[in-house]
Amino acid sequence: MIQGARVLVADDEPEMLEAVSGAMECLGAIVSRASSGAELVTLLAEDKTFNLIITDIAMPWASGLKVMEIARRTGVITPVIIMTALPDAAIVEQVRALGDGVVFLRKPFDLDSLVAAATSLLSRPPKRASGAP
Amino acid sequence: MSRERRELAEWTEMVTHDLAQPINAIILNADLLLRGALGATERTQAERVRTTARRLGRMIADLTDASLADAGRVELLPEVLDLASWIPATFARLGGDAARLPVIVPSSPLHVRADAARLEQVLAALLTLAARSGAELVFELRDDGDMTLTGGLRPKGLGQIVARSLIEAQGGKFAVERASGGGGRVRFSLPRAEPGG
Repeated sequence: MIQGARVLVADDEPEMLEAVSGAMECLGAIVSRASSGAELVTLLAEDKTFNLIITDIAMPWASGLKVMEIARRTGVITPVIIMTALPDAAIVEQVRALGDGVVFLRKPFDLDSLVAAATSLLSRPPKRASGAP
Repeated sequence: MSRERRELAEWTEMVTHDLAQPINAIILNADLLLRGALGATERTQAERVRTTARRLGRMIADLTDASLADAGRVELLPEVLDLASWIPATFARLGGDAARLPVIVPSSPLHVRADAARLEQVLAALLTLAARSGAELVFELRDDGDMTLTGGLRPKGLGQIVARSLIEAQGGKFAVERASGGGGRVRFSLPRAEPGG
């Protein structure tokens, strides 16, 4: 299921960006990289064909969570994996509020957890956007 | 919360957040390395890297949780647990040394209100305080709801910080004492609850 999937990975930590992107590429995904919230916004605006987004929360210019909240409001229904090392109760609630098609991964996580999250999201039946302007 | 504790919590959150990034990269890269073809020696070495990195990752996550608990920001999902049955089952599930730990529990149910996952985290954290060599540990749940871990315990450690923070965040009490026969004793309790309440 990951083989051939178009995946957008966003993290401002270079080691994590490369580790997650490299893992997805090893599994056969076609990966685009964003190293800030601004780059995540730009790539999402330019390319509507991503099958999966994997994003950190705390990033310069805009948090991954804020970007995804706005993306959902504008009709982007791409499944998303939210990664964070600081899972406080408020953040967990905000992640849940993104609705279906979201998996929360607490850092540090292992490859099995990443693969399980990606596989479960990519194997969901495709849905049509609703509520988009 | 005092200004000093708030500043310490903020500092701990910042440090653990920053430490989680490189350790996560090490874990993922070790996992990827072990997916490939390796000689026996290289595989053993890579597995050691992965095991150690995962252990460090758990310590960082525990410290983060302790800090969030102290700040009242840890997510808790409380439920009513019968400790008399839940504790032996949980030690058995943890496996390894935990599964071999002598556990004394009352014969009748003893209900508390607690987050099961957090309480399991507490038990695992306390076991990290076991001295490398020393008196055997014994866990006891008393009729009055007090829980004790007694025996060869190190007086201080990350496990103590984590356990205290997660117990107190759930309205419980936590203390470290010197045991009468030498060694140490951790004593803690949680708010009692009615069955099904």
